[in-house]
Amino acid sequence: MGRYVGRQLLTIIPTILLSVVLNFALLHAAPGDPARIYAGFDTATNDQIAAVRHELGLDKPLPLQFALYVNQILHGNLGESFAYHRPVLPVIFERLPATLLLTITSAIIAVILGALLAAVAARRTFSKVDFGLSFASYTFYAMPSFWLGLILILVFASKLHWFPTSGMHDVRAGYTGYRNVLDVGKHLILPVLTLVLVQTPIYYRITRASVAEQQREDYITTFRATGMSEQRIFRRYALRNALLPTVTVFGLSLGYVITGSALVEIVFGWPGIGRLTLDAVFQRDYPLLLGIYLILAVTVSLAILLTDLVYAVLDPRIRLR
Amino acid sequence: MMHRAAILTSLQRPDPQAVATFEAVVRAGRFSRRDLIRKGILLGLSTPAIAGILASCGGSSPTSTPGSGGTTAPAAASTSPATAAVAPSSAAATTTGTSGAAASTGAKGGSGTLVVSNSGDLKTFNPDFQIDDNGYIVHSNLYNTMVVLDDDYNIIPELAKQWKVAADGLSITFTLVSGAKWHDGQPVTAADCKYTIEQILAQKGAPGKDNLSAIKSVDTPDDTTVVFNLSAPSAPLLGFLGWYGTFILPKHIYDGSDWTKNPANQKPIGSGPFKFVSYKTGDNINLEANKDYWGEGPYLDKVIFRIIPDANTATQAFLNGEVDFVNGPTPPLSQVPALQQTPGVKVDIKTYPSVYYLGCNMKKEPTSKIEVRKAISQAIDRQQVVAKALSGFGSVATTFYTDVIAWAADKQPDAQVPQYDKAAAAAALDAAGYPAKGGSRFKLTFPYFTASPQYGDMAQVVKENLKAIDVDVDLVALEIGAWQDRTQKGDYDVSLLDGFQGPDPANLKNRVGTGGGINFWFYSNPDVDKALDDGAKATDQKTRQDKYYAVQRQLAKDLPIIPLAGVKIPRPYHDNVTGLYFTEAKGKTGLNRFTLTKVGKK
Repeated sequence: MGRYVGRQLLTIIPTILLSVVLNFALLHAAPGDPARIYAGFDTATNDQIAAVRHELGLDKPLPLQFALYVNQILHGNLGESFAYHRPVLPVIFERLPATLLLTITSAIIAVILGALLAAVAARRTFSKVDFGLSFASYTFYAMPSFWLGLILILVFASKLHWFPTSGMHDVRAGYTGYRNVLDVGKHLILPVLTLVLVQTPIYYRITRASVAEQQREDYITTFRATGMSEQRIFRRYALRNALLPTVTVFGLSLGYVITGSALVEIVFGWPGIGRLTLDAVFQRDYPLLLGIYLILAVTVSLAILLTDLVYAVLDPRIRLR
Repeated sequence: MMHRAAILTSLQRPDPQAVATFEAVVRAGRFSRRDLIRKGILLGLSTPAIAGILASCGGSSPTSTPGSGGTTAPAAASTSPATAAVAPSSAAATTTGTSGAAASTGAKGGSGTLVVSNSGDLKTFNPDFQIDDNGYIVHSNLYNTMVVLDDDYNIIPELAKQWKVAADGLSITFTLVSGAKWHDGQPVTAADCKYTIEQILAQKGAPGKDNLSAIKSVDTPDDTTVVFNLSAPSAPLLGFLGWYGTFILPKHIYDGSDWTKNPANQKPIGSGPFKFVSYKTGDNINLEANKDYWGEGPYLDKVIFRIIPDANTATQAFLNGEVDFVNGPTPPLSQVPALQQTPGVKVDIKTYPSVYYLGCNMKKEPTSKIEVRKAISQAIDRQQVVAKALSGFGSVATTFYTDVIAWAADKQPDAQVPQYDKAAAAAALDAAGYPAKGGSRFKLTFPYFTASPQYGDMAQVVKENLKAIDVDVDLVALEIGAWQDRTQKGDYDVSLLDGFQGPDPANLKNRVGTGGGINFWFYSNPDVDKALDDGAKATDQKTRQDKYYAVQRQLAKDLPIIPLAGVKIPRPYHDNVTGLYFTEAKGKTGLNRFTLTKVGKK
């Protein structure tokens, strides 16, 4: 196991290097000129644009820019954000907690809820419960998250006044200590609910299909023939096997916890990294974007590795070497 | 992004002690101001000599009348930036403006917290080295400029309480307010102004650089006197000085450092009515009252800018009381009527000095032909554009330049845009050799950018209008950076743009001058270029007006751009907010300043 992890970690390195090259090439190939954007849209003269291009280092030949960038990364420096004029890493890391709080909370709730509902539905295939859950899952799966978020705001914030409209804090009150925690919790509910509603159907569909499939397997029939209770067969064997695909999807989704909730962050004014990423795209903030993509590449790689490890625990047939 | 100067703010309401006097002053000020503006403009237009007088005084004291030269000096307080041109005139030589805000009375703080929504992150707290649309309103409350534009783009005093233009127009002498302090307690002196202006002029990329380029050198005979020596008289200079990228920075903090990297760019030290407390990107910017502010106010304890990117969410947060004033993002126009009917909510509808227009590719057929451009102009029902794309919040454009800067807007018949006449449009295209074969004369590629929802709606209306004369339109929605690349390459037939046309018509150069930064249309006419150059150099308003009228007449002949609608921007605020820079404090504080704003009980 230890050797397996070590070897996998080594293969992550070329993956990440490749992603750096690709990201750099793609960003510079995409339309849009940062110098024009930072010089100002409707007032900049050509001289100003040229001066800004020079300041941003974009007047150098592309291969040289790339070499300088790689050299920087190797020294542990991701450069300075064009937009914020600050080193990239702190800009990213100060937004990380808000995003992780939102995405991990909702991912965990969604996978548990999805799997539980699937277990319920799969044991009563084609019952009213099954039918109802399937219908709901299709409905929510088809909803765009930003639209659903806005509807939740209209209902629960504007109409019922149960929750705040947007943001992460009540800035007027400026709470500290445990009241601040409660305040953040209150602001967290609607965005988490939005993400849970759109994500749960994925886990539900996968788990339900796979539970239903497991229950038709020969070994289940064998267990039944031995007189083992349905309860025990389901909990101990069918469900456990059926959860493998769910774990895969969950593991892969963890790779996207950092930027995957951008639309929900925009709708709820949540100060996370998804929004930071989109802002950086619109502003052609190359250093910041490359930094975010680099971190993204690392988290996706690690999430895949983690998924493999959990697999081995769940499925005794898999032995990692 | 296109509405840089449209940023807004707050209010004021009676406060026991100082307010009685204050209100009297405001009232008097508004009275004389309104009257005198009109009078001043009329005078300015009719007699060049008076234009010169206006040019030279910028004071806003409603009560004191310097009156040298036997003129009505206070009128200048409310003249438009261009009216306040630097002009050589014998009267000008002796006329000075004075500041009405000299008396700094009134309690500091105590009137609660104002929460303002802002659509995006501020980039840096150094307001002068880079364009920063989302930062403008924040900078405006942390820093001061020497003079400042008010919500009607009139020049009013700020750090400079009065100024005097030399008879030859080649120097301006400013007198600074006394007692102004930086947030760290150091005094604000003439040296700070000199440092800032010189720094702006020394930086190639600084947004204020070109606007201030008439300044040759800056002298500081004493701590409260700043003298600009000009290379030539410059009409738009004072307006630009009060606009953008010209906030006075503390020399003792910035001198000798790279101003793009100074730590104060993260922890600003200004001289404005509010002090920096904290900034969480993507979340909020927190300012508190500067209790040592040199002028009247601030009355608020705190101003908090909440960053809310989505227009629908910002509108709901406003309705739910989490936001007191929506600076940005602009509420969806279709929701504005409902906002106007909401109890406790007020919506100021600002006529913004900007016009939506179609730009035509001058290098590519069929739009390179004037007959085609004219037909397009006649094919568009501008009433429908305003009604459908702008929900009525706009005005039908009949001419090229914004009404807001009235003296420069040519309204005469030969500067009019060809208006809606479908039959004439179709006939003109038939005659120009574009018959409607098989229901289509030709196809136009129409890329537009998606910065605001109005663009998409307007493009759709234009498409339908053109379809009615058998011209097909391919709409292409693009992100703004991609749009710029594409239009610059000339890979389009028509496109859509608007943008700030102030503070002075000199800015038209960038829009329609040969090689101008936002002349995406490849329009080049030597007569227009010459008139633009002459207009910027001329010093009296009548001459300037002639030059800019000539530009507009030529535009009406050439139609490289086809004006569609004047821009209006809704600014919603709760009615317990008073003394905003566009309500009670209009003319007393500059654009975006919350200096006189108060929040009352809801």
